[in-house]
Amino acid sequence: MSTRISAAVVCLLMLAACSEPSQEMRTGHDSQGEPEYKGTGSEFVAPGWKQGDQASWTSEMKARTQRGQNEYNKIN
Amino acid sequence: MARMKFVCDAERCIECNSCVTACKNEHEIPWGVNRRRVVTLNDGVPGEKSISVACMHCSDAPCMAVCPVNCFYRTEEGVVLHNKDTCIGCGYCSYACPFGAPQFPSEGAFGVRGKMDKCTFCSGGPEEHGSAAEFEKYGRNRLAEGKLPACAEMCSTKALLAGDGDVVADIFRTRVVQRGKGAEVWGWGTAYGSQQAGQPPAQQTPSTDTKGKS
Repeated sequence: MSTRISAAVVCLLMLAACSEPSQEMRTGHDSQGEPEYKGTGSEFVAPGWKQGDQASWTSEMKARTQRGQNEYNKIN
Repeated sequence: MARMKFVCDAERCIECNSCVTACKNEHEIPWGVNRRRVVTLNDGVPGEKSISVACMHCSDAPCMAVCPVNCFYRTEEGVVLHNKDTCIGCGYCSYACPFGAPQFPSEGAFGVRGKMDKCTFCSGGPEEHGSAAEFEKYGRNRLAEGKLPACAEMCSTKALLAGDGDVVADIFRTRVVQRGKGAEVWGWGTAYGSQQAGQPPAQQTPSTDTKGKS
């Protein structure tokens, strides 16, 4: 009987290591804030898209890139 | 979903530094901090090449890997940003970055190194979009205003392209096809892991064919 009890105590002691908390300074990365398509809430933003609409923002970004940086669209 | 990337076309960059000026003006960057720089290789030698360098917002960013306080994060658009409230200014990111992007403001009588500052792809930080706190810490949030980074939009020769990776790669591809040269994008392979652009040509492996040899 005493052997069983001592074995159980030893097992409990061995399991104690499993409860060791993580020593990482932080878990996970910092907050990512709000996504860009949410907009600033101000009226002073570029026209052509709706604030808070991800599809609208994404398509406007692609259109703006082509409009402003691809001069082949202008000369050809 | 857009994946924001930078491309600098070395065939077009004329070292005018308008990207540097636009960045400093847009975000009111303090003296001594340069989020963007123009680097010229073989300066003064015929055939010199210039490129505009800043944080490339790497797909697998080394700065994120080495930061001891995990102050970096990647937005949905693929932009690598950091939280200045968490940053301790240790400088590990500066050693890890292959582009020299992290900058440290030196203020005070003894040049105490402050919190890291770097290019945000004009998308601010974790503060509320368009807020005064965001502008003071990270600069203007142009992406949330429906605009693209000021450096690229102000580039006089459109050497610096910024925007969705698929779109800027398409624009660059059109140029290369039209002019028939200059397909190398410096830094692209390092930042985004592409095996097709910005990488040195594959080394010729010695032939194992021994036919005709005695």
